[in-house]
Amino acid sequence: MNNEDNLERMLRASLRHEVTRDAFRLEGLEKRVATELSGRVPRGSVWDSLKRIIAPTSRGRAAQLAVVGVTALVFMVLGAFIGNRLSPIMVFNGGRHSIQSAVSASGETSALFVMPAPGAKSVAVVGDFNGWTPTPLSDPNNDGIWTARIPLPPGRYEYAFIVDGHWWGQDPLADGYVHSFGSYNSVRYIGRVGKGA
Amino acid sequence: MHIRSVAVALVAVAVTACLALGAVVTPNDVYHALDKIPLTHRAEIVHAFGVGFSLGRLVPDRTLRLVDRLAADKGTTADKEGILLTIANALENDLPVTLLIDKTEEGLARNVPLYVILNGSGGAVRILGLVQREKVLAAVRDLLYAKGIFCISHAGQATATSLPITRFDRIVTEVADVLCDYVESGASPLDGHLIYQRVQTRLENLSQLKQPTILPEDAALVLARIKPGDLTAVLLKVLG
Repeated sequence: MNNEDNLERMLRASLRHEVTRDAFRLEGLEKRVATELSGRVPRGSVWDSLKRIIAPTSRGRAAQLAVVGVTALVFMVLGAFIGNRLSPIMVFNGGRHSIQSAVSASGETSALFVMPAPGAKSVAVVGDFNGWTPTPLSDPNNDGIWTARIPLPPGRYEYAFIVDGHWWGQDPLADGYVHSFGSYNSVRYIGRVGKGA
Repeated sequence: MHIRSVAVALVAVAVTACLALGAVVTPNDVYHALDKIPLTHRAEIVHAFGVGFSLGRLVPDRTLRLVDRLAADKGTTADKEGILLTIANALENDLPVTLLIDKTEEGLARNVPLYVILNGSGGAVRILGLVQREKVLAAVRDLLYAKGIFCISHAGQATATSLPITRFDRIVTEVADVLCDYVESGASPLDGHLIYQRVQTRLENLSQLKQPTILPEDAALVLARIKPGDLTAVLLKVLG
C-alpha cells in the first residue's frame, strides 16, 4: 500500500469521524481534519524525509541539487571504502594487473600476494625476492583469503606459496610459470609500464 | 610516566640502530662461515669468492646466508664443497653467479638433495643442476662475445660494443635462465624460433619495466645480433 492510499484512507476515516459524532459543520472542517491527520501520519523514515526534502517544493532547485550532490558524494566515498576492503576478492574476479601490484606515492613498487586457502593453518610465500625464506601471509577476516603486500623493486620474480607445509607453485594470478626442480614456480613482473605498477 | 615511556622508546631505537649497524656482513664473515664445512679446496674457494666480492658479483650477506644454509644441510660434505666449487669456478671463469646462488637457495628451501642441486637429474622430468647451469652461462657469454657484445672489462670501447659488467652480467643471466627454463620444460632444443621467442619475451619484459632491469638498448642489441640457430647451438653444445 503506497502513501497515497494511506492518505486517502486517513482522510476518509477523519471525515467519517466528523459525521458519526454529529458535529459536521463546514466551518473549520479543513482545519480539524488537518489537525487530526497531523496526529495520525506516522513518523517518516529517512527515505521519506529525503523524499520530502527533494520533492519539488518551495525549497528551490539549488537545495535539491545540493542534497543530491552530497548524497552522491557519500555513496562514492562508501563505494571506495568498500572496494578497498574487498580488494583481495576483486583480484580473483579479474582486473588483476590493476591492483596486483601498486606504486606508492614515493614511487616504490610492491606486490600483493593472494592465496585462497580456506581452513589452512599457515600460508607463506617464498621466492627469489626473499631468498626462498617464507614470508607469512595473513587472513585477518578469516574468510580463507590469505594476503601479504611486499615492497619489491621493479623486476621479474619467481615464487611459490607454502600452504601448511606444502609447496604450491601455480598461482592463478601469476604472469607465467616455469619448471623448477620437477615442480613449478610462478612468475610475476613488478613495475610493468601500463600494468598498474 | 610519559617521560619514562619516551626514554624507553629512545633506548629501544638506539639498541635497534646498534644492532642494525652491527649486522653489516663483510667478506671475512663469509670466510669464517666457510670454516663450518670441512673443505678440501678452501683456499681456491676463498680466492674465487674474493674476486666475486671485488667485482660485485657476490654480495656478502647473501653469500653468508648461502654458506650457513649449506653448513646446516644434512647432505654430504662432498656435495657441499661441490656446490661451493661450482660457484667458485664460475667466478674464476668470469661468469655471473646470481643464477647459481638463487637455484641453490631454492633447492635447499625445497629440501632437494644436494647432489640433485649440484648435478641435476635426467629422469622423466629433467632437472638442470648447477654444473649444467654454469655451462649454459658460459655458452651464452661466449655467444655474446662471438656476436661482438663484450663486457667493458674485456674489450676496448673503440673496437666493439662493450657494456658495463652489471649490464652484461644481467643479459647473460637472463638469457641463460630462459634457456634453462626451456630445457626443463621438456621442449626440443632444435626449435630455435621458439627459444628465440622466449628470450625475446624475457628481455623485452625486463626492458619495459618502469625501472628497467635490462635497458631497452641492451635488449635491442642482443635481439638484433643473435639468431634462433645460435640458441639451438648453445643448447646442443651444453646438453650434448
